[in-house]
Amino acid sequence: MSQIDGIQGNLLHEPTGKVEDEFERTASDYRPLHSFKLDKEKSYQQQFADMYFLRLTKLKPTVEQIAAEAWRDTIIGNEPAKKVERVLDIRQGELCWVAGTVYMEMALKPNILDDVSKDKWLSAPITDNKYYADDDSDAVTLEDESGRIRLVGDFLKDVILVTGCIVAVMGTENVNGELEVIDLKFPDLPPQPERWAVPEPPSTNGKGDSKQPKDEDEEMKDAQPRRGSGGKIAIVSGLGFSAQDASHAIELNLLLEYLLGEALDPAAQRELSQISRLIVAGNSISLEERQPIDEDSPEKKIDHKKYGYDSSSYNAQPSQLLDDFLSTLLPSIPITLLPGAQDPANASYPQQPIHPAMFPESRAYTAAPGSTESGWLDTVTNPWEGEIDGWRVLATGGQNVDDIFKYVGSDDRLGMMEAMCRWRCCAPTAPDTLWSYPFQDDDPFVMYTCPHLYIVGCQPEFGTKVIQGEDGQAVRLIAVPWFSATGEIVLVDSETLDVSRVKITAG
Amino acid sequence: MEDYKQYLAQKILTEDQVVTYRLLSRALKVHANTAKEMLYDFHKRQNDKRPNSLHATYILYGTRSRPGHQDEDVEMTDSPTPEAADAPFSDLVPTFTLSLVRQEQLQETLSQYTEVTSLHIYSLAPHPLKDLQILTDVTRQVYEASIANSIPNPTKVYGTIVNPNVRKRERRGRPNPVASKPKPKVDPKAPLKQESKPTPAAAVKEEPKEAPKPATASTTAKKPTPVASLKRQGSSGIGQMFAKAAAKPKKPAPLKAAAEDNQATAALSDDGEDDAEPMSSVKSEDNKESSSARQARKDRQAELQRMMEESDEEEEEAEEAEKEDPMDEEPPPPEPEPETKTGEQEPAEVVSGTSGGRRRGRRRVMRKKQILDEKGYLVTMQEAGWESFSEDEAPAVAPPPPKPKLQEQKSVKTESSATTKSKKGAAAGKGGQGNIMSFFSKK
Repeated sequence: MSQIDGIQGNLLHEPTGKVEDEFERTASDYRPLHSFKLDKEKSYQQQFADMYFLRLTKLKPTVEQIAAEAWRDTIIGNEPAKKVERVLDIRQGELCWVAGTVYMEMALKPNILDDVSKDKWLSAPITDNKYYADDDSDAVTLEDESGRIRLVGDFLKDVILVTGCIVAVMGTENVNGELEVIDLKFPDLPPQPERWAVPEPPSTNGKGDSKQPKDEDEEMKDAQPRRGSGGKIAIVSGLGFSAQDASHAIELNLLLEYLLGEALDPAAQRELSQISRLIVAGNSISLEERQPIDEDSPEKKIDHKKYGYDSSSYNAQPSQLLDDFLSTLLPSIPITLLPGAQDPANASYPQQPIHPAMFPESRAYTAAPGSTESGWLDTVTNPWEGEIDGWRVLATGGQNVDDIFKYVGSDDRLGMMEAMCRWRCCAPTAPDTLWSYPFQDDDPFVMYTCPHLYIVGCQPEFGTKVIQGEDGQAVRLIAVPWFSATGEIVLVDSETLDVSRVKITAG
Repeated sequence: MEDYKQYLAQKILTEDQVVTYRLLSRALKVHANTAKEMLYDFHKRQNDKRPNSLHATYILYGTRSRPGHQDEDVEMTDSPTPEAADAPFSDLVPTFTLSLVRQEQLQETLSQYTEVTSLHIYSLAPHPLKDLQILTDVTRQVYEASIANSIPNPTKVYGTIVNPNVRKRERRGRPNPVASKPKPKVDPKAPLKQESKPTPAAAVKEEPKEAPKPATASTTAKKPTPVASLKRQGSSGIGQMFAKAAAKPKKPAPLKAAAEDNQATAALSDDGEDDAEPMSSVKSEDNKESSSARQARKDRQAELQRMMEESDEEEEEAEEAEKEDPMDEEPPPPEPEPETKTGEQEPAEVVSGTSGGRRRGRRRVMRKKQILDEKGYLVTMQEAGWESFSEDEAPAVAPPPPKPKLQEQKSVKTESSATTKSKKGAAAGKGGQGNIMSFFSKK
């Protein structure tokens, strides 16, 4: 294609003076669930051990049921596979199976006990280094409340395992006291709700309520069938607004004009009006210019420091740019904003919503404090769960995948996302290596319902695929790349969940 | 319809600026698509007259042919087992590419596309753009232009996709957005706006009126407060208009108005102070920002001024004062502290003499005292004490009271002493306007 004349939407002509069509944006059906919302008054006194216990209690029955079915008639060497209740009950030489929590013993993995024994009380900064060592020094162990046993065998090389996932393993204990694994089962995909399962007034009674597997009831209540709008959902992550690095500033502008429907020609603009919602999946603000406070310049430090706040080291411009961006878009398109690792929210999972005070211009679009309805600009948790156009969506800012990535030797991020769905846990490595709130009564990272759409932001490259479960579940996995690095956004058709991507380049 | 040629000729050829289709649509209030066509028309005509006098950038949108591997990638079927690690990780999905290119690269880029659905001019410039990121600055102008000349129903005019479902909540009181946003202001509409004001000369002298607004405390903080306040003693400018008791000439700000204003914006007073504090530290580094903020302030003042003229017949008097006092840019006096703080302590003062409008005397202050107790802990105590003060020695290095504090708000006397105190605060190297932050600052 190199002929300008052949282009359909060619605006290279004199002004025609004809009245332009006015496009109306497709409505977005949006019901957020508050599965990951923490109380404002939360205690950090608890131990983390409860999370592992809760996760095991919740997932053990499921995985045992799957394992029992799979291995019911398994006879190896005239010996039937027997179920043992606890890790400690495994007898040497007997073929048996047991369910428990995986724990990865890795030399490169940060270890809180090491830090305590060395009298280090500051948490080490999160690094991008892998924990995975390619020299067989890493040990996979299975533990429950009774004890821990090391898992060995070639079978383990083919599966992704990380600390915190619940599995059932079959095998025999060898002379070294290790379990030779013959087979391994995950809890697999949780039951998937029908489309349009969340009732009309979004349940806002806290996490406990929305987490119940009560989908059958809801379908009954939902008398009037709702219909999809036939729109598209735009997903972007890693906008990376920065005060200094302007290398992708024009791409951000083009994205803005694209989403507003001001760029392109009328035919394309008509298509753009189908985009009914924008999801920003983390890292809207760039960290790069946040330099550590220079210890060598005492003069600077003394200057103006109140409440330990050094105004000279803080640059408000990135958040202002983001605010401008959002407030320009908001009159035209509703936005769901997830925090990411670099955003002004708490660092530990689940990240709580970015406070609307960060957005003086856009905050008028947020929900009023204390109101139960969702805002037009919805600043939400990371991970976040909700229903968009009837589809159950689970979205994260990417830290969960980034952390699993450190455990394994592969680059298959979609595989990790799939593994998380099959483990029924969207952040298995919390609280071991992924910072997390010490949950006491509930592990919200356990997936009770299978999402239709699982979005992970801030990934190195775009990727998508559909995975299927035993009971007809189908999950569309999408890894959303950094916009600042790739200039890519993802469009999801809200009827078919088909994915397309848009790449924005300049120069 | 023809005025776009005039506009573009002036902007691009005379003023040597870059114009994008969005800026043109905002400036002339036309649809974005019309603006794209106007840019093309202008570009064509000019280059027909004088080749290469204009340089355009183009937007292309469509499907780009990807080099090589597109064909051998097979649509991957879903694998229910996690063993599919060797398979291609991702499904292949349609990709649309939106490119912004210079006119020199247009043909080359076009040849990389298998299908182009949209093509239009993005910007025109009198010279080739070395870095396309420069266009970001134009977008900034668009943003400001659309704020400056806001028209009803802008989305309809500019061709933005409208959303009938948009929900926005009304806010009870907005902090002044300009004061909290130090941005380089290149707003082309601002001068126009000022010219339309009836008395541009009077516009600048209204500064003191801004004082009671917490939001403008930031601008206050940018100036060397003590000096300005002392100058103010000579001619208190607009402040006089508010002075109910004409005999007390030093009253720097309308107290009543201040109190009312404080109440009106009570919910936001925290914001204002937060804004004020960091600003004081950046004043020296950021001349550009402060000048832009000043420009914005002038606009507001002009507006205030107009309101004043309608109601206040003391205008002439004020104008005389203005002639005497050429300090156009004179900053407003420190804002009076909000009433809420009065409860914390009960200051008293004894005025021993008033000569030539200056007061001196003693007043009661709370001093902070830190001692090391026997266990080695630092204990901070507060002790009441007296210190003498006088109005004119304000910036002197007298031992500053540990915290600037506040007097009853109703008397004029009190007001001036509050000024004195914040001056001392400033002398001690702090932010200077005696707000809650300096209350807590360590000495």
